[in-house]
Amino acid sequence: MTAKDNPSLWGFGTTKTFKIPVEHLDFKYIEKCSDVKHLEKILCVLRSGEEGYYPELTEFCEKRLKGLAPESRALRKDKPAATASSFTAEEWEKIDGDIKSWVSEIKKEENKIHCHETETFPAMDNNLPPVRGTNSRVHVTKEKYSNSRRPKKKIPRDYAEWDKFDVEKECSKIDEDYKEKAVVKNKSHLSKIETRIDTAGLTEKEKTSLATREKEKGNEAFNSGDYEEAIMYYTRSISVLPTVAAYNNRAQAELKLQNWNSAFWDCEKVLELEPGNLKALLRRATTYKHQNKLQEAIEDLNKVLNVEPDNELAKKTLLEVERDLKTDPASKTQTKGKRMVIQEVENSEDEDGKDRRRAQEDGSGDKRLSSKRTEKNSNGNILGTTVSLTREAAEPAGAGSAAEPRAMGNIQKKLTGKSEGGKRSERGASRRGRTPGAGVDKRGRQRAAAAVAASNATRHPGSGRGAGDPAAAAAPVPAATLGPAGLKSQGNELFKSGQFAEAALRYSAAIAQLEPAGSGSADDLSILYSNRAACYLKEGNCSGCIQDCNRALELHPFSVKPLLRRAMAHETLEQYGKAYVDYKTVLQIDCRIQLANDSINRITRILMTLDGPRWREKLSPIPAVPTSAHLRAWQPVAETPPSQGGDACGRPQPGVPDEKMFKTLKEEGNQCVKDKNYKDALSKYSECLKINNKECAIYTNRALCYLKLGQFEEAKQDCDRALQMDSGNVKAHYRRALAHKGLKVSEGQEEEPGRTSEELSTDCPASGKGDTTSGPPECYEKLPITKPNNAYEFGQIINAISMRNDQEACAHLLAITEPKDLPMLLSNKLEGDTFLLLIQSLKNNLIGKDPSLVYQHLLYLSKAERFTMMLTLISKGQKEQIEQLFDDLSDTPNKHFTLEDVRALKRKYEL
Amino acid sequence: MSAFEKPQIIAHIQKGLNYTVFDCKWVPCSAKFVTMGNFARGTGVIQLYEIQHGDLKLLREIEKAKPIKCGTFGATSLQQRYLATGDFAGNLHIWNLEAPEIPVYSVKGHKEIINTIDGVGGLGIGEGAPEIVTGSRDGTVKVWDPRQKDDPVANMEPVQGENKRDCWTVAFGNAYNQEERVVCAGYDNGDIKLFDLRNMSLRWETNIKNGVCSLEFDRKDISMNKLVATSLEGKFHVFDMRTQHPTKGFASVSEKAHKSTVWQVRHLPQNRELFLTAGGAGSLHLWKYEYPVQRSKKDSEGVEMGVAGSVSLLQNVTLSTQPISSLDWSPDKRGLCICSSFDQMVRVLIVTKLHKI
Repeated sequence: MTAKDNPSLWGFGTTKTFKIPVEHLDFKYIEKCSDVKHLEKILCVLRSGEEGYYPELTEFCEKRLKGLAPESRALRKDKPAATASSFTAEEWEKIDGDIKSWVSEIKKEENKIHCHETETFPAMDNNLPPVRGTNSRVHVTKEKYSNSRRPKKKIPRDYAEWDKFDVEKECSKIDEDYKEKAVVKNKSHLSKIETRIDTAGLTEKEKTSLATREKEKGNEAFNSGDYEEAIMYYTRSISVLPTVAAYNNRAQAELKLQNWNSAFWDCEKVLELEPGNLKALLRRATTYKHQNKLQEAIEDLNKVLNVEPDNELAKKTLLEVERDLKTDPASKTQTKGKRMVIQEVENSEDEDGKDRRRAQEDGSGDKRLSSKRTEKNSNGNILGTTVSLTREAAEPAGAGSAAEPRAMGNIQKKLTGKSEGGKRSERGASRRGRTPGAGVDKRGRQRAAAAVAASNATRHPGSGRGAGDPAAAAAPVPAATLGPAGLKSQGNELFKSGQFAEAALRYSAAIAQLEPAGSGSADDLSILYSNRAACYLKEGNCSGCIQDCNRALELHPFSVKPLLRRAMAHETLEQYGKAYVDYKTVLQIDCRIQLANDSINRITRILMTLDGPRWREKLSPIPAVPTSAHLRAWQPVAETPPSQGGDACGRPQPGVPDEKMFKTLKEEGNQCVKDKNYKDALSKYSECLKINNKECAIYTNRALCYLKLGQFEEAKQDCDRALQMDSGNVKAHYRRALAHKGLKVSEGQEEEPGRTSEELSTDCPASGKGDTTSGPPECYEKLPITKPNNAYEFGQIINAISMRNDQEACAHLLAITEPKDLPMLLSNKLEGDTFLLLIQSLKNNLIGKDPSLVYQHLLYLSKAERFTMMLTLISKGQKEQIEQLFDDLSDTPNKHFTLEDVRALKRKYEL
Repeated sequence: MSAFEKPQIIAHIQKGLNYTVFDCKWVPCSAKFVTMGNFARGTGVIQLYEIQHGDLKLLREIEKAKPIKCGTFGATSLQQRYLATGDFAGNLHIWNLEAPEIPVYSVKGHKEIINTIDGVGGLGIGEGAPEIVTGSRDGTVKVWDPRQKDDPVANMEPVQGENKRDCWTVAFGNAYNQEERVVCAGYDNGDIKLFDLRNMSLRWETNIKNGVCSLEFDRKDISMNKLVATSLEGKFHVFDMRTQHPTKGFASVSEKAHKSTVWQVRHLPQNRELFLTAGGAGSLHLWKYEYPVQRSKKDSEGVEMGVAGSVSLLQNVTLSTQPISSLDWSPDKRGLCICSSFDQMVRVLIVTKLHKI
């Protein structure tokens, strides 16, 4: 930059340099001159005093320049720092007082920290990352542009994921992606910011300053237009210390991103912490407005205007909302329809308003997407079920008829989507259908269906006001007067027919009715929450689903379904760690659930690719399921539709109350067996048999108790009875054999084929040897181990087994696997832990039953790929285990192999 | 903005010192600050002052063998508040100001004077390990972890035979999670180099023609957003660090601010878009950065490149005839600031109305 551009900064310009005619240094000329550059030059000359000192002219020139170009650099003047005299007395008092009060405040704070110094310090060090690699050198002249932004890893997908594929959701996701890309392009760093801050070992003061700092970072990002980043930092601030300001600001950022639902929840949080917060009310009104809940929006805006009648934004929004209300009769009636529900709820109950409101919010579909779907669903329902009722009413409204083809198209799409969606959703639906709530008969169902149809009709444009149709007019009343049970069964019906949003509404209403009843109805509430969670899951409203599951689990810890649903929701949200923990908990309660087993396998792989080999350390601890939970866990589940892992396979169905009793008794019996309290178990099973004597499993279980108590004769009788019912029952055979053995009737053993030994360990409830962690005894009955056909299947099973370190299951697997297939099945996947597991299960579970099988397995195991590699890797202790196995093998000579064979094999194992 | 709404810079307290002061820093979470410099007799000094009743009270004076050039609290915890200093002999020390006789940490880090120091990972600013970076006349930039004795954890030096440039300034940035971290260094020949500590590589370099006197990221603990570099000839540059173009690097805007060297730049801890520059003629300028409508655009080949915003002057004052050598905002009180100048003065300044911008 030359002196010309910056005359004032250089200040050595002369008229010669600038070549300004002297007559230009004149009031009149300056007044007319509009050339900023020229004026700057003149000013420079004047200031330099070269042509003489003209203070008035200089000032005049400055003014003129300021008028033309207020930002001109020539106008920058050296100024002394301001002092007290630059301010009015009042201002100065304020400034000075501010500093003084801060000084005294900060001194107090400092003293506090000083007191804490010694106790809090050590905790700090532990959280620190390790020291960076020592003395790494970077040579500065080396040009190397490293691309620090790695492309995001694609997570390997498997076929099961296609089951969950929701076409609509994916489409809308693509739309959203596109939109996002258009706005902010550079966000790769966002995913790398931790959303939680570890606050261990921090003092209150530190937490406050940390939270404030994060909030300030959020504000800055917000101001520069990076709303995602701002949300990130507000979230971090909240994780340190939840404050009204942070929630409020996050709500604002969410509004900017049009995440109405999240914004809504943040506003709720603010209002919870500080009822009547105007900003929060205003922001909540905005969310309502965009979710088409115009009445609620108006309420909130009125609240704001009551306090601040001049709030411009509130006024403006109110006008907009009222305009929307007029122009959009559909939404008006819809809102009205919904509001009727609230009012009824409010009339019938008298406390806990907030929760009810929340329930209502949940129910009315809190995503834009889902609320849209609600509308479509209700339209579709009208078309499908109550055509004749509503056609006439709908016809006059032009918009209504125009919407019909679309609605129809949507339904079709939904149906295809569902059939693509495949097993899971169908299973879910039929499950629901089978148990339409406690004590609802066919008549009840019909009534429910009618009520649903009618209430849908009111929701439809115009039909509510049509009043010509008695069914439509009367509709809301039955919906309201129905008890929670009725609402629940309605919900189940709707769920079955795929109208998830409607079903969620029913459940919400039922919850609202039950909520005040308190702990007495905890079971029912838990089920309702769980069912509503299922609806949300279907809608793709994962956060809603998680919330409901949380509530259900609060009421009923360790019930399987909410856990499963929460796990699925977490998985959908890609919170794999949480999903993993939930699935694991489910498996602790009931290890038969195939879905959970599959998902665990899948998630394990994902987590491994995401977090590397130490992924386990990043998981939150998996809650230990108390043994008492197994029992309790079953009761609510028994009332809700039975799970897909279903235990009701071909079992004769006794009467409903008896069944429950029977089930409870059986559970208690199993529990007693697990606790090795065989006598009690015996009496429980006997009582079971009084209720239902056609249950084969009870006989086999009781036989086991007899066996344990040494009453072989009775055991034999029970087994006989069981075999009468089910001649192929392996457990019965095996236990009879044991009984025979106990009675010294040795021919029993010959009588039972080898397969008893194959299946005994996994089948028998009590042979769990006190393995208390792996769920109720009957878990083992249906352990889904089938003969693997290829290496993949085998790998899956082995993974599932080694996850639980379940030697018995492994023994079972080995028993049904042809030894000569072993190398093929293992392929090149023989790993240290697999190897160890195989050896252990051979040693502990199979050697006693079928030594020849053990020999065969060992023989073929040695032929597997990577076997020699394995041998070099195993530890001394493991080697001893193998040696023991061989010793056992040599001690039990058999016609299938000789001692010589064993010795030869032993050499192969390098022993 | 009318004159009354403009922020005003008030010289609240001024105090003459009997030594040359090079650096001054607020003690976090207190109304105290330290000044560092050298006595005429050639020894180093650290003084601890506290604001009391509108005046400065000297709480402690510590004399050390070598003149102290620079210091930072950036790598210490709020509970400990240890001061890390660099001296004329190339020593890095960490002092417990409560017991300053023996340093908590001491290393002969460089062969020549340590010109500049910065810290990160302490005071809740920056994720990850606490680290200190020093830049020296010997041409090297070294990163230290107070938990590791004797050796730096990273060392940026010219290759053998290459001319050694005097490193005048260093700054940490990009410490938004445990792994990411960069060090930016400015040299006497106008070179600016950005080292990626995660990859241990040089990520970017440029030259701004004149010696780089001061560098600072607007925030150390966010994904690199802006970097201000001030130069010997009265200019400063603001780089938008969000978007790096493979060949063009980062977009920047430059502004001619002072009549001579811009010695220091410091961003307001409570608002990253505001920063104060300190000039060679004893002047202070308060600036605001404004973002462009779009922060990035596609070049002709469709590659993302950044777009620089603009800076506007909010206020300027002249405090002294001598250069202002150091400047520090209070992390705890918005608008409170200290500066030291070569006329052996330290001043406490108040900048008003910052929250309204």
